[in-house]
Amino acid sequence: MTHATAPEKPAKPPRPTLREHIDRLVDPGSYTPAQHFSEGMDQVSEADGGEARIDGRPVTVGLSGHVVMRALNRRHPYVALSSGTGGLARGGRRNLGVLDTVWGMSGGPMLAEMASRGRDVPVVSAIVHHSFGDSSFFTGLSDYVVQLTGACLALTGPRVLAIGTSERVTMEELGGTDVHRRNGQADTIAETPGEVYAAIRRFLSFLPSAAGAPLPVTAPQPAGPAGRLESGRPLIDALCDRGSFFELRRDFAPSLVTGLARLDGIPVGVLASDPAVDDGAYSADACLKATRLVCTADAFGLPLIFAVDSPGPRDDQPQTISRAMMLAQAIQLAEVPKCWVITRRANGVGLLLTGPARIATDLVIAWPDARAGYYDGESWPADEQHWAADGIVSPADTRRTLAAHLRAVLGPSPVSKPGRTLRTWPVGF
Amino acid sequence: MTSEEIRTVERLRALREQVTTEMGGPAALSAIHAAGRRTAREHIAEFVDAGSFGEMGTFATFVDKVTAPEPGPYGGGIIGGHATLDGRPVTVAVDDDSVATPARRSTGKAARLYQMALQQRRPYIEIAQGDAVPDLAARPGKTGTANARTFGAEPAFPYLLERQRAIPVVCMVLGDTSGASSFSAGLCDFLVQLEGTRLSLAQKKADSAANATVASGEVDALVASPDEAYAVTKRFLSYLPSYAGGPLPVTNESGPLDYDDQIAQLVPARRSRAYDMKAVIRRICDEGSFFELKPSYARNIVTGFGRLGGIPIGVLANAPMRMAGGLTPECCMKAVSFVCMCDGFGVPLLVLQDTPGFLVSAQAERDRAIDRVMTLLQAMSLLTVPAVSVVIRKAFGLAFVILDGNRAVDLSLAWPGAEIGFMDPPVAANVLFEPQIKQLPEEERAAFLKAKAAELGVGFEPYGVAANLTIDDIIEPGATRGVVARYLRTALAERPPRTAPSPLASWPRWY
Repeated sequence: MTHATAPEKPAKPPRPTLREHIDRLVDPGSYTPAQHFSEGMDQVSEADGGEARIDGRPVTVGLSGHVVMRALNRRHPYVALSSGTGGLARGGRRNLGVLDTVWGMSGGPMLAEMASRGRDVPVVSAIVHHSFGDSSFFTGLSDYVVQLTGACLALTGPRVLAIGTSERVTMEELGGTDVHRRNGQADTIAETPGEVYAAIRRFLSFLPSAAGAPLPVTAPQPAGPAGRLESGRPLIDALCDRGSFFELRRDFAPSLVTGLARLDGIPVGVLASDPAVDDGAYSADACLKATRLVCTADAFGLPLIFAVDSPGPRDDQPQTISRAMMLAQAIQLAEVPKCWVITRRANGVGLLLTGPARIATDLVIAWPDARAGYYDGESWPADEQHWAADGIVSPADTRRTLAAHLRAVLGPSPVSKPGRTLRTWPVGF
Repeated sequence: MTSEEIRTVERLRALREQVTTEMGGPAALSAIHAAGRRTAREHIAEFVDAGSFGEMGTFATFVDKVTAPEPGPYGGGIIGGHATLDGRPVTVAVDDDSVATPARRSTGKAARLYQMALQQRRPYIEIAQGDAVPDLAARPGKTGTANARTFGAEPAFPYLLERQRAIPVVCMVLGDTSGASSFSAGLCDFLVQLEGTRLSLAQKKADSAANATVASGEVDALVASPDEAYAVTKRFLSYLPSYAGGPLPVTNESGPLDYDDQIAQLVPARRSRAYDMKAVIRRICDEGSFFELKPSYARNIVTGFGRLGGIPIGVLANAPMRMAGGLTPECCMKAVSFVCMCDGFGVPLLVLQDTPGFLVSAQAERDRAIDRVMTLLQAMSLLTVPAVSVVIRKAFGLAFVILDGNRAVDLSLAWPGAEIGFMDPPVAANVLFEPQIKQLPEEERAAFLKAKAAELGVGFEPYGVAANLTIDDIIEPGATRGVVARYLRTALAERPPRTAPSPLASWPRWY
């Protein structure tokens, strides 16, 4: 109990300051720091963050959640550069004699706003240095999390852990990128600060500035390499605009590949089974992975593309029933246009997830040799294997079919018509 | 009546008699009985109020030209209809496992029964006991799909997916269950499973034992017999309105709300001594009214229904008997699931706090503690029902902020001996005074820490947080029952009706 030094402190190159991070992240010269006592409960200073532009669009950037209210009020994205040890570091010693130590020091006012924000604007967390306490809390309420290798993300740091529980672990063991790349806590792992900035800009490029704002549609690009169409990433590359796929949570539940991409210039959420991993089965974790993306896409009006080549659920994980049904609910409640491409197999719950009711905006297509049914591989129904499909489409024609459908249902100037229900679903699926 | 009319009626009578007695045929029925099990009709007869069952869809058949070219037996794999349960109307749908295997189960019939329950605004109860192949997920208006249906073009499969807790839904697993029969297990409010049965999503998978679903927290009540399943289902429904927004089933015989001079003795003053929180809950609630859910999962938090002055309440309480009441990611899931149910059905919430906080560890981080904890924060922040929180002995930092509904509870109370602060004082002293501790010789450190912890502890008395209204009042332990009951009476009587559904009503049952 008395040995209270941090377990490990390896020497590191000097870390960028908040200001240096911001200057490298945002459009050059676009940053305006917040002024003292500027707005409402945000008694902030320029040390906490301010407004800037990313790709010409306004954002608020700040240290952890310090100036998030400014973004929520202005209705544009918030980027938290997370680095901090929680309430103690923010004047905890100073505040001890002050009233309201619980609420204020736990980040209460910020948490109250964030917990009921309803995905009105995109909120991004970049873990650029060790983040504990309210810095970590903010992460769990963010739509997108990128973690820099070497930074630790955890509810409490190793020092408090050692004191409070006698567990002695390194930063890396407790909440390093190897922990959070596998458990799904981080959407992206970055090796350098430059990769962090690029990932943030990339993520935001797919989203409207706020729910209901115009979708950031770009000029259509040709598709990726149209080699042999397979499942998973090669299929996504062939269906989407060249180089547009931005993968999320790559090392979490890898039997399902998820991310954001563009199709004919339209930003979309993409979910594709990867039969190379566990035969493409829907594990309980894959259902969590998919649900997070479905909620984000629905809240910000992005159409969803599902590429299905899956034997269905995996029953040897606990919670499979609940999580598969949770995903089915999310898909059913999502109001954005949804497209399914059954490339090879849609079985069991893989099929269940293709049973949408919103026929006006949804599309189910199957490739000519695809099979769909509730049976084992040996006992597919002899005929009408495409019964759930709106049409049989050749692999070569799939991209064009999807693009035409999305153009038709979104209209000439697509806005991000947000769904009404999933926006208040949990963020941390 | 003409002889023709008489013949018509007689034919109906004969056919109905045949359908309801023969079911899937004598061989199937004796196989069920030989296994010591009950048929669908026997379940209904034992479960609902005597003579109350009104069958519907008697002559429905499973018609699906892909999977079953010939119409299946009457009933469509499900026996169902309307009935009363302890006098209250409900709709039941029971898997008929006497028909061919794998059971051909008319999802359309289940959907129709659910739709009727929804229209009539009463609870819907499924008894699952089949390895069912769903008939096709009907998509209304679609052509070219093989969805010949018994009941026309109503949405068949997704019947529970959009339910958003509009009416209570119960799923009792009373036989091995998989496939379509298992879907409602992932969508219901109350999941009951009979010991020894297996429940799985995929068909024809061996050996997923009953315990797997209990260990995963999905099952609310594990029962030893069908009769016990019926009883816990009736008990569960007795706390809920028949539909979201409906009147709460308030009872008249509540017992006195007098000062309780025994309750304080249940809680040891020494902060590290464990005690049985359920004993405290039982003393606060009306006598014999506490009904625990998921009793064997994440036992460091207790969830259940009770009554207070006759008013049904949900109780969410830390349990210091287990890991000192510290909160794990599993505790968060259990709490979120319960809070969503209470909020969806308008059942007031009572939170009893005694926790050192969230249990931090490398394992918790691997279990994605941050997301789990923040999901509980979201749920508590979105509460719309009347909610009262009482800090019984201690509550620190984020755990206090969250369990206090992030200041979203109506009334935040503490017992006079409660400690409330930003961090457990001994840990806080160690963290805050680390530089000074390092300066001290080894043998003086313990005493220094103890003194500092005691200093901090003074600031953690509830008067500090009562002074700045972080809590609303400090109450005598003996007055708890009366204070909360009287508050809830007023809150329920005067609360304006909801203008929008609770956001939590749409959340998944488990995540």
